Amino acid sequence: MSDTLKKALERVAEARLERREVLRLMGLTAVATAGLPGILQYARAQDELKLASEVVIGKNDLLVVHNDRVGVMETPLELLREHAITPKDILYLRNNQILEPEGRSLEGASLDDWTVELRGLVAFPRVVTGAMLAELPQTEVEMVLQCSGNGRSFFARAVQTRGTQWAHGGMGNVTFRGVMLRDLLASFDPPLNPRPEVTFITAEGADPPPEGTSRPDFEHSVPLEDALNRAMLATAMNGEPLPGAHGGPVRLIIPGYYGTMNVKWLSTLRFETAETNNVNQIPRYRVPRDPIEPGTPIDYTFGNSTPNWRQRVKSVIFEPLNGAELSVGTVTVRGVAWGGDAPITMVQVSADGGATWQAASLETPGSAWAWHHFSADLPLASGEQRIWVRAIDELGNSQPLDGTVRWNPSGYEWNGADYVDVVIA
Amino acid sequence: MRRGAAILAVVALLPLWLVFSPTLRVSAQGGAVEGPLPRGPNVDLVYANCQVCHNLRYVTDSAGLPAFLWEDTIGLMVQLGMQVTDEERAKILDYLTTYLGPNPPPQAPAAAEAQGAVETDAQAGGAADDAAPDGEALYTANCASCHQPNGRGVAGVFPPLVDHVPVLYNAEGGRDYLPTLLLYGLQGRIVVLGESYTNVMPAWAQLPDADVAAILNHVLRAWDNEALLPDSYVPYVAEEVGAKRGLELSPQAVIEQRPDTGGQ
Repeated sequence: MSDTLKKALERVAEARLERREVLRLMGLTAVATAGLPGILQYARAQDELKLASEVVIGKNDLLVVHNDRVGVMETPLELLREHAITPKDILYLRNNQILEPEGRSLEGASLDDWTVELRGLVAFPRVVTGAMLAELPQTEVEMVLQCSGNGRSFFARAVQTRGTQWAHGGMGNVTFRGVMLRDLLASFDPPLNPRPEVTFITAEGADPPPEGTSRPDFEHSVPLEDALNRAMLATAMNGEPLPGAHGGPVRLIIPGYYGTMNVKWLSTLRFETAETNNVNQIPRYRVPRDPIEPGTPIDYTFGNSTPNWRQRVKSVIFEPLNGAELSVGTVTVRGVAWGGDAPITMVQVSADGGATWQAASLETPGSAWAWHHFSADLPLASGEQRIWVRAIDELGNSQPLDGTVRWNPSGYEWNGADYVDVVIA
Repeated sequence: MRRGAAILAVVALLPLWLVFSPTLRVSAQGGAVEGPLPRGPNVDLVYANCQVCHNLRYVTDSAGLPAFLWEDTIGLMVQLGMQVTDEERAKILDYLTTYLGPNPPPQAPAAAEAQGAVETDAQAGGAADDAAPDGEALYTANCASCHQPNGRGVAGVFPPLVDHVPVLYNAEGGRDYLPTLLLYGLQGRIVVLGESYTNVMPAWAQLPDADVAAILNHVLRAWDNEALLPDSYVPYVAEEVGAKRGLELSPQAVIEQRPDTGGQ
């Protein structure tokens, strides 16, 4: 464990103890004086969020909780960078709705009695049981799971956007195992072949909308072609039965796609000729097809926008972290890069604001969709320095130096070149 | 020293503290505790409607949104199930664009405000006692959007208060339970007049003690509820509500204190 992490852990643990102490004192003071211990009472009103483990049993309390109702939490980089495969207790979480009680636990959810319905424009609708999934050939893939809002807070460099203000921690690198959708379709007799006009599949989960609201149920559509090439019905994560909190027992996994499209608690797949017009497909979870001026409105149509499907090329610096104080000489810059279109072929670092770039050494992972670890030795002069990084994929996709050029009202798909500010002394 | 460090630790965990420069306001009626939202007209509508699905952190974290985006966001929340009248919607938009827009007005120094309130009361002599808050108006502003203006709720979604709150009051521990319910909220399954409810009731701790007491007194008397009250009933007073603060109850814990009404 690195010294920085140890310090971070100690700091957070201390803060938690202090918080408990404050809460205790507040109780005592209130009783003792029947008056207001002013600042303490105020702190209570502010400090309204539960700890991660109080939202989902087993989650690490060092996670930053954004929403404690259905569960939205992110992983500090100090924790994230410690593991090649992100353990389930620190993996970020973002729910719109939640399946109770499965969604409250990191235990594997039971496949018994679970069914997934396949219907829409197919010759014969089918029902897949958990037992059938367990018997079919299994495929495993290492991949980056990332919320499409990850990095949203950085759009505020131009104009504030709405929603959870994620830093970098709405992502993790995990393995999923399950049955490829194409293998599943081929396993039926006769094989389940979608009609030729089918262009999308729409996935529904078993999680219900909140009671007492008129909220439409959550669902998403993805292009059939990508689904047939990449999608699986996953039943395991990191070599264990898929945790209920992360969509178990069955989750639609499309490697390279943003997290939201990987529908949890999968109950139905519909084969269709168009994207669903569900509010979660439009106007939510979309970005403008062409850039718009930051701070301007856009009325989303299917034509002028695209859903949060394939992840944009992205890189994140794991070392040094922002604010680090380093000694003069060569600084080793480490981190990860990935994308949803194609494997990463190059990562570059810069110490002069992008005027010149230096190639980093790059590890090629077993999967195109996994973290590509990079490392570069960068000579830095003394004083305050900004270290930049950008990645380039096999198709030539890269990252804008100013990520706000892709500003959108909901702050999705941030992929600006990453930087950290350090002090060289 | 120890406590000072603890306070610092809490503040460090709360970046919004700095954004809004919040300070404590103690109302003339005593006991008011500020919530995380900047003070301003119609803030209670935000407290009432925006915590049903998500924490207020979502609202405060979005501070600085351009007006069109707040308008768009409220529209989205309505699509996602928020139930407000057009009038309430306009008021919420007005509050958000003013106090959480790109150029919010500076928050008045709360200590000075409280000081001013005390001075005003002092000048008015004993008038403060007469200026009891209007329970009916407070009910309309804070409670009616869920429990409805007629107190009959929405079957299966928001429980009725008519013919129910006096039953709670009369049950063992009922008088203690009602202020606790308002201060800490409620989460879990309850049965009211034979109908089952599992929705979440938010906490109302941001209201001054006197306002909470006034709301309870209104609900207990309105809609012929008064006929079900015992002769021994005396109205709630602010101090009685204030005594329930600092218990640190979760909404799930409140349900354990709920008196058994036999499904009534």
